[in-house]
Amino acid sequence: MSFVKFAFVFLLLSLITLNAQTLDGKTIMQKALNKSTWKYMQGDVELILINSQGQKRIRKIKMFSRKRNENESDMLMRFVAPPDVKNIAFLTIEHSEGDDERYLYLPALRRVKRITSSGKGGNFMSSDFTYYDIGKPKLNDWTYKRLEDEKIDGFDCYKLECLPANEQIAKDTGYRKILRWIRKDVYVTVRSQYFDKGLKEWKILEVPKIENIGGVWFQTDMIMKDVQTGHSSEMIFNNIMVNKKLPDNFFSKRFLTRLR
Amino acid sequence: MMRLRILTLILIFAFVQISYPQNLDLGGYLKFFAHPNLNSPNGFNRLGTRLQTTFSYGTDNAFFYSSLDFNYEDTSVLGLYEESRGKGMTIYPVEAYIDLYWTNFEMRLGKQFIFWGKTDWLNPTDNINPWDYKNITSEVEDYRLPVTAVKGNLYFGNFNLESVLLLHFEPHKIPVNLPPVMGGLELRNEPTVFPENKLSNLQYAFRLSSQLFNVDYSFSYFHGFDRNPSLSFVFVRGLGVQPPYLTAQTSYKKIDIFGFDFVTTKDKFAFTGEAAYFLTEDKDGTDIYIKNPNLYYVVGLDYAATDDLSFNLQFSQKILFKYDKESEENEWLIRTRQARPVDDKITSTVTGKIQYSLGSYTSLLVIGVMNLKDKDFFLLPILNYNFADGVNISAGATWFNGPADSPFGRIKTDSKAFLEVKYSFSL
Repeated sequence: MSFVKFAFVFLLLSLITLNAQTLDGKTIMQKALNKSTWKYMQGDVELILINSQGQKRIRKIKMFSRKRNENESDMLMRFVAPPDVKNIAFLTIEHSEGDDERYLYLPALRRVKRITSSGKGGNFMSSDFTYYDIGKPKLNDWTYKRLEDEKIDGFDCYKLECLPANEQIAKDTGYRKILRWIRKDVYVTVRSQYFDKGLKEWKILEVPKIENIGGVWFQTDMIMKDVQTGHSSEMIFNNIMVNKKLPDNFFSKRFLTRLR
Repeated sequence: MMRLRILTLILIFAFVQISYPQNLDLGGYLKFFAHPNLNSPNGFNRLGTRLQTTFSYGTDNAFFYSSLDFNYEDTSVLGLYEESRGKGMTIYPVEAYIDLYWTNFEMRLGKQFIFWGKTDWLNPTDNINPWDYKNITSEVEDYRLPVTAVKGNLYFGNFNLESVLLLHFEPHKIPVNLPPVMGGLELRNEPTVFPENKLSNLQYAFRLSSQLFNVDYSFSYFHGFDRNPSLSFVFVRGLGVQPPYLTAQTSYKKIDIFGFDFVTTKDKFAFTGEAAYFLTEDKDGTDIYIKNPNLYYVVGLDYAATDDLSFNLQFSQKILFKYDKESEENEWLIRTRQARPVDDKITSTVTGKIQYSLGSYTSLLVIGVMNLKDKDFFLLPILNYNFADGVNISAGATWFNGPADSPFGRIKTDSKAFLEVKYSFSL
């Protein structure tokens, strides 16, 4: 009887191991994307900008986001600190077809201004993160090749080489290649290495902290370092709330101007 | 007395802060400013310090906001116009309003700013808050004057209908110094005629905004009084040995303004446009003292070359209808016994703006406006350095130049440099 049990456990473990070994790059990425799926999200963001001389600037932002469908989402951000940028607010309405809409509310001018969409490769709030980096990647925008597994901070990780599926993706994101390390146990990216158009190393993303909130995995501390300029940015998320519904018209110019 | 008032205000703020800490916000800035006049090296157009306090309190369906300036100015204007907002210590209420929120309707009551239009700097449809042309600085609350109004926003479908009721008329503050003598004739000023304070003189405005095919647009209408004065002259024959003289009188005339604006973006470009038709009291163009009906439009293009560098270019025109320059000049000669330069039927202006970030903490903004006929221009370069979180140092200049009788040439002695250090705080 004990032999049967042993054989069953052995078989199960073998199947799991075999499955892990046979997962291809795209499947791993798909699992990773599924682990971070939500409809509504809001939270506090601390954005720390550090220049090559080590000087720091700290921005505190209240962030709200909604996914309208698989390919479209909305994001509203309002600065909380420092006081000279307080209440500056930013709204992005993503469109799968055509340009995204972007609006900036400048309380000093009491005006909402529609601004150009600098593309997903544009910097997010003057940081080293781009809009692409903080958004959810679309699975079919990239091709995935699984490389040899590696350990990051003691955790077993899948290592993927991601190449843009077409020239437009490379142009939009500014990345010619991305290497991703995805933790095997929770399917969360814990490190990425970004390469520019000339395939020179450009940026490194480290993720010192991940958290499961409401059944969704979040990278709650991310450090992006631009190895070409020496500038780096850290994003720390706090008070994240998942799937707390917001009014349908929340992601609009109407709410952008509200100071509360 | 002044100290007592300030102390009382601080105590009120402190009391409310302690009583309702979770919904309150108290902040503002402290600013030192020095504006030396470029034409008289030893003089300052402005030199002083300002403490602005902002106070807000809100719940889910109501919000209160107020902003108060405590200014101490060491000097009044030494430039062309011997006037400033106030020398010495002044308290200036910038805004104070209450917002009320419903599901599809919002209302704002009180002293407020209402800015319309989608182009940069030049906004033909922006006619609610007057300008203070005597007080052009980097702060919008200096060069625009708040209005006491009731504003309602009704949201239905993809539309926003904004209605504004203005409870009090306030004109632009314009630096006009009439000479004591014009063309050899003494000039006597008559008292200014302001609109009477009666119900039929209420001013109101509407704007309907929406979006179609990724284009944001709005139609607007304003009924009220032109904030630019009409200046009329009367030639008076002298009695007996008394020489003839001229009387000058400023008055404010009714106006209806029909506006339209739009903005859309494509890749790194934004396209903007704005136009307004001004239907003045002089519908037939027969009164030389009242501006003729006219069209004012602006078209613009924004280009974000990179995250750090962007450009804006605009072209604008003012077209006077039912207007003949020659007969206007003749009429002036007949009525006032002297020749006077009059407006062209069409005036064209170009504006440009460059924004450039130099590294992480320094940015440069250059704004230029040029009238195409006389090539007179206004240039405003501003260099800003973010010294620390909440601390900004900005330096720049407002430079007017052009032929002596051109719009910017006439005020070139008002050109000034400026240095400002601003510390923003939030409690």
